[in-house]
This record gives sequence, C-alpha cells and structure tokens, in this order.
Amino acid sequence: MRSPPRRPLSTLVAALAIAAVVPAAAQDRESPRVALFEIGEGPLQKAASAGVRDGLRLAELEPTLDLVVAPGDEAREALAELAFEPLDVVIAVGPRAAMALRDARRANPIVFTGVRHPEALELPGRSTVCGTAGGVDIDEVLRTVRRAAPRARTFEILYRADDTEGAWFAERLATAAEDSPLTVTTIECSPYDRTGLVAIDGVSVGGAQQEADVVLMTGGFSPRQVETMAECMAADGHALIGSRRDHLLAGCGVVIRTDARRLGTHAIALARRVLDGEAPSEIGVHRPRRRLVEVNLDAARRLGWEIPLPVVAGADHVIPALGGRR
Amino acid sequence: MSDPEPLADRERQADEVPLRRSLLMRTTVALGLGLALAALVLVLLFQPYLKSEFQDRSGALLSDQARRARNAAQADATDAGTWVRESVTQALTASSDAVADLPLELVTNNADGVRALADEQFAVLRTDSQGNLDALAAEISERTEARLRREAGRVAERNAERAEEFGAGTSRRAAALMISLLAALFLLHGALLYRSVLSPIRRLSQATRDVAHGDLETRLPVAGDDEVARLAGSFNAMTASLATAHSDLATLNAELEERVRKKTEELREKDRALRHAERMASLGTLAGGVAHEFNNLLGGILGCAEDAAREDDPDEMRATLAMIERTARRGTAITANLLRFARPGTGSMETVDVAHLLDDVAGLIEPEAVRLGVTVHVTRGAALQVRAEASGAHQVFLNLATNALHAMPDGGELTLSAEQRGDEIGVSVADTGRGIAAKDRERLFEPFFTTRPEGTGLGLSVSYGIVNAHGGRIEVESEPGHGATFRVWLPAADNGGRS
Repeated sequence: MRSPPRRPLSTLVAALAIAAVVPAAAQDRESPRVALFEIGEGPLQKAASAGVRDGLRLAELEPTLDLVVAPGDEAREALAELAFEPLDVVIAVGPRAAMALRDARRANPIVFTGVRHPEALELPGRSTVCGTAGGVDIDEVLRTVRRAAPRARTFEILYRADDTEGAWFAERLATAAEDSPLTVTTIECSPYDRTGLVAIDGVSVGGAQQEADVVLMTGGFSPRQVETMAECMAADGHALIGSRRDHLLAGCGVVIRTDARRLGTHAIALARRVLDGEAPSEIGVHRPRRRLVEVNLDAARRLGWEIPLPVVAGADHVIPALGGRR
Repeated sequence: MSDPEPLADRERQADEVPLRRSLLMRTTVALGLGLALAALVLVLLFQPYLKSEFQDRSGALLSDQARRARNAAQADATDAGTWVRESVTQALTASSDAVADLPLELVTNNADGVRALADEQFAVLRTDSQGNLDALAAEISERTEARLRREAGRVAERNAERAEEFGAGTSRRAAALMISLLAALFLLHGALLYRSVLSPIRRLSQATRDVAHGDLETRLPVAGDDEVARLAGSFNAMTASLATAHSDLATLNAELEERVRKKTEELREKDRALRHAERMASLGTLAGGVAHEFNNLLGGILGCAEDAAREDDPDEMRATLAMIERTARRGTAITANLLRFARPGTGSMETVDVAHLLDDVAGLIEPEAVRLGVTVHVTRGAALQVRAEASGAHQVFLNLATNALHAMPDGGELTLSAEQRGDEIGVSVADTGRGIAAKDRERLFEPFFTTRPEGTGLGLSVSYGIVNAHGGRIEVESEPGHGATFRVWLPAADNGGRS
C-alpha cells in the first residue's frame, strides 16, 4: 500500500489562500482535477485500486490528490482536505471511502469503485454519485450454486457481523432462494478473535458441524478463515463456495466473483464521462457483464465434492487437482 | 468209532444259506444297483441342465456387461459433447463479456489503445482457456478411470452375486433331485424288504400264534432257498414235531387216566372194605357187648320167669312180670340201637342231630360200660346239628367211645359233649383212662396201629378218613395217666344248628 502523504494544517491553509487568490479564469484548466481516496485496505479494494491506476494511465490522467489513509483521524483529516480542494471528480476506492464521501455531502461528483453492493451502502440514487459494483448478480449466484451442487438441499450463507455488504447480500440471496428447492440459512459470524478464526454463533469454526450441503462465504472473510472452514468440511462431501480470488486458493472449490481490477479501471472510464460533462445520476451504477466462475479441483477433492464436469468446462479458471484421486 | 462231526454242527452247516442266494446279498445288490442308477440319472439329467443354465446365465451376464459398456460409452460421448459445448460457450461468452467490459471510454479515438486493451484481455482469456482445457481433460481422464474402476468393481460384485445365485440354485435343484431319487430308491428298497422279509415274518408271527392256540396243522409256504425260506421250513418241521408229540402225549395221557381211574376204583374198593372191616370190628366189639348184655338180660328174664312160675301171689307175680317186661324193653332198645348202627348208610349228606347221635352212642356202649364200671355222661347243650353222612358219623363216635371204654378197664368216667364254635360243631369224647403217650399220639391215625393186642388198629384211621371226607378234623389231647380227649370238628348244618 502506498503510504498516504501527510499534509499539515499549514499547508492546507496555504492551499486555501492560493485558491482564493487565483482568479477564476485560472481555474479553466486543461487537465482535470481528479482525487483518489481510499480508507483502510483489503484485497478487493487493493485490486480495485490497481485497476483505478491502470485506468488513470490509460486515460493519461494524473491524480491531483492521492489519499490512501487509515480509518479514524487520518480519514477525517483527508476528508477535510478533500472538502477544501477544488476537484472535478473524486474516485472513492472501497466501501469506507465511498461511505465517508457519501456522508460528507460533497457537491463534487463521486465515482466509487471497489464496492460489492452499493445498495447496501445507500450509494445509488444520489445525484452526485456513480460508480461500479463488483457484486455478482444474486440469480447468477443461485444458478451457479445449483449447477455446482445439483443434489444440495441446504444452503448456508456466512457473513461477518461487521460486513454490511455481506449481510445485505446474504439477506437478498436468502429471499431470492425462497422459491428454489434449497433451504437457505444466513449465519452472522462474530468478529474474529486474536487468532484470526471466525466464531460462528459463539462456536469456533473448528468445533462447528457444518451440516449444510453448500456453504457460501461472502467477501468479508479472510483466506485464513476460509482455510479453517475448509478444514472443518474436509471429506464431508459438502460444497464450499467463496466470493474472492484468494478464497479459491484458501480451500473453496468454487468462487463466484467479478474482476475488481477491471472494475477499478472502468471507474476511471466513468470518471472520464463525468469529466466530459455527463451527470453522475445519468451514469448510475455500472455492473460488469462478465462474472467469473473459478474452480479449484484440488480443493474440491479435499472437500470430497465432485463438481459436475459441465461446471468445470464452463469455468473461467480451473486449478487442476494435484496427485491421485482421494 | 467216534462220529467224525457232531450232529449239531452238521445240522448247523446244512442250515447255512449260500451267500449268492442269501437275503443279505440280494438286498445289498438291489440297494447298490439302485444307488448306481440314481447317480446315473442324476448325472444324465443334471448335466444338460447345468450346461444350459450356465450358457444362459453367462450369456445374460455378457450381454448385460456389453450393454452397460455401450451405455457408458454413449454417456461418455454425450458428456464429452456437453463439456465441449460448455467450454466453447464459456470461451465465447467470456470473450464477449470481456469486450463489453473493456473501458473503451478511456481509449476513445485511440485505435491502438483499443487494440492494446483487447489484446491484453484476449491474451488472458487464451491463457486461461488453455489451462482450463488442460485441467478439464485431466479431470475427465481421472474421473473416467475412477468410474471404470467402480464399474469394474460393481461388475465383479454382480458376477459374484450371480455366480452365488447360480450355485445356490444348482445346489437346491441337485439336492431336490437327489432327495427325490433317494426317496424313490428307499421306497423301492422298502418294498423289496417288505416282500422278502417283513411279509414272511408277519406270516410267521401269525402261524406262531395259531400254534400257540392249538392249531398244530399250521404250515408256512416255503418259496426259494434263502434265510426266510429256511426259517419257514424249520418252522414247519417244528410244528410237525409238536403235532406228533402232542398226539403221543394225548395217547399217554389217556392211558394214564385209565390207570388212575382203575387205581382209584381199587382204592375206593379197599377203602370200602376197610370201612366194612372196621365196621365189622366195631360190630364185633359191639356184638360182644350186646351179647353180654343180652346174656344178662336173658338171665334176668329167665330168673324172673322161674320166680314167677313159683309165685302164687298175683301181686308178686305182676311185679315179676313187670321186671320181665322192663328187661325185655331194655333188650329191644339195645337191639334197635344195634340195628340202627348196622343199617348201611345212604352215603348222602344230611342234617344230623348231635344230641340224638350222642344218645345213640351212649345207649350202644352202655352194656359194656356197665361191665367195665365206667360211668357215661352225656352233656347236652343247645340243639346242635351237623352236616354229615349219618352212619359215618355214628361209626366215628362209636369208635371213639369204644376206644375210651377200652382205655378204662378198671372203671372210670366217659363224657360225651358237644359245642359250637363259629361254623363248626365240636363233639368231644373224654375219658379218664391211662392216657396216650406222646410217641403213640403221632401214630394214632395210622392204619393197623393199636396198643391193644385184640385191636384191629383200623378204628381211628377209618374215623380219620370219615371225618376228613366230611371236611372236618380230629384233635387229640392226652397226657399219660390223665386220660384222653378226642374232639371231632364237623361243619355245622346250613341253618347253623342253633335252635
């Protein structure tokens, strides 16, 4: 992660003074003023951030501000800085940055990216906000789950208690599955303990009996937490589905996701449109057409899960099984 | 010269049946032939069945396996097509979606930029596709091998199950067939056994029972020369021998009976003679006494008659005539008694009054008693009656009374009494004579045993015989010097003899 540049208060005052002195005509610049704003870190956000920079390179844009800050005081200071900076568009990378800018009620256009489900963050519908959504369509998820585990009858969706987007997604997925043959249960997982393990309903993953035919872990879970879950489910013959690329390597047999980096790049395309005079409200939320279904045959073998070959054939990425069949 | 071989051994050898004709050989041969036939039938019937069944089952198994392999191959082909379609569809969709997702807004009016974006994306897609296809192929291969292994295992299991079914079915059929054949064989054997052994044995048992019931003409048919035939022949010989022995026995029995009858007649004659002799002896004694008495009576009568001839007084004459009358009546009584004793008995049993009997006996012995100075007492109790032949009873008590008188040559007392005890009447003749020594008491009732030189020795033996013939007994009680008591027990008459 790039270390955030720290700007003392004096610098801020100086900038304000310069802004006040420079004649308005001086503001009719050739290069647009684009700010990047990130709070905290995460794999999804990291990929989106990389994509944003790809996009900036493609667009030959140089960010005026590149604020990557930690939550808390730093974030507040960064917001204050942004408040006084004349910007054409602000690129909010990640849900924290998007929510912080949402709450700041800025008049500058905001383009968010690195967000899975903007509806959960109450981002859509605001006149100055547009962006890209990385969450996979709920119906698409259900279709993939039923294809990958055709004999499944019970489906558990796990989300972390501090994952607003994950909770929103789990609820919507459970509602959408009401008409399906699947019996869906959503499970809120308490914040992880010091060892990094997720406690599910007060019971650590290591001791829980995962009796559901399919378990889906939303994007808030770390690879270590997915590993722990995969160990618990080893050889049960049940399906473990993840939501991130690193979930695939952590032990999920199938991962359903979007390309966060590409979405980050596309956020710059949206910013370009805003800079060209298009209103954010007209741009709205861009959702990618391409959803990625990735299969890890080795992880599936350890789970005792035989993924149907048509699913394997239609996967966007397949990690082959290592060694002989168990 | 000694017999070279004992007769029993020769007979035993003659009874031995040659092995080739024996029942054992016949039944053994029949059973063996039956078993061989059953085995042959089993083989002949079962072999084609086994062959046909095996062909059918193995054919069905092979057909089933070929069908499964064909179906599996078809499924694999179908699946392969599906996978290829899926793979191609995915590739096309991915390409299309990837193009749609390209941020072309960033490279507007920049064809190179667009191409660079597209190339970059397609390069990723190509790399992914190649890898995906390789992984898919490897997975397909591995799963196919696993499926084939499982299928091979299932085929082996099915083969084993069918083989077991076939074996079980074959075993059941073979067992059923063998049981049926053996049952038929044993039935046949049973029939042979019945005909050869059981039926002849039954006939033998019946014939034995007939012989036991006396039919010695029973004979068994002799057919063949086996053990059963020999047995039948032996039975017939035994029965014939029994018949002959029975006939001889009957003849001998008849002869014996004739001899016994003659001897019995002789004995009866001798018994009658013995009785008659005793009666005569008693009569002789009695006659002696009577003669003596009559002599006295006649002397008295003669004396009275002489006195009467000389008597002038009519009263004295009447008194003397009355004496003569009394004396004459006395003589008449004695004569009546004697006649009664001498009258032969009717031989039939009748009711005899014991008191009258004793009175008669007392009257008969009175003269002798007077001569010897013996006082005769007759004790009469309740009226007692016995069932007896009258003359025999008279003879018995007269004998005993006479013997008692002879035991008191110097006088004494003679008591005649009677009592009843239950169904018997006991008549006692007791004297106060010299008594009977113990050694003599044992021989009292022997014929011709007597202690008097002038005695016949028949009285007591005849009396014993008479009492015994009446179903009674004689008891003797005596001690030397203390007299003797003879008690005769006779059956009471039917009305109990009681008045």
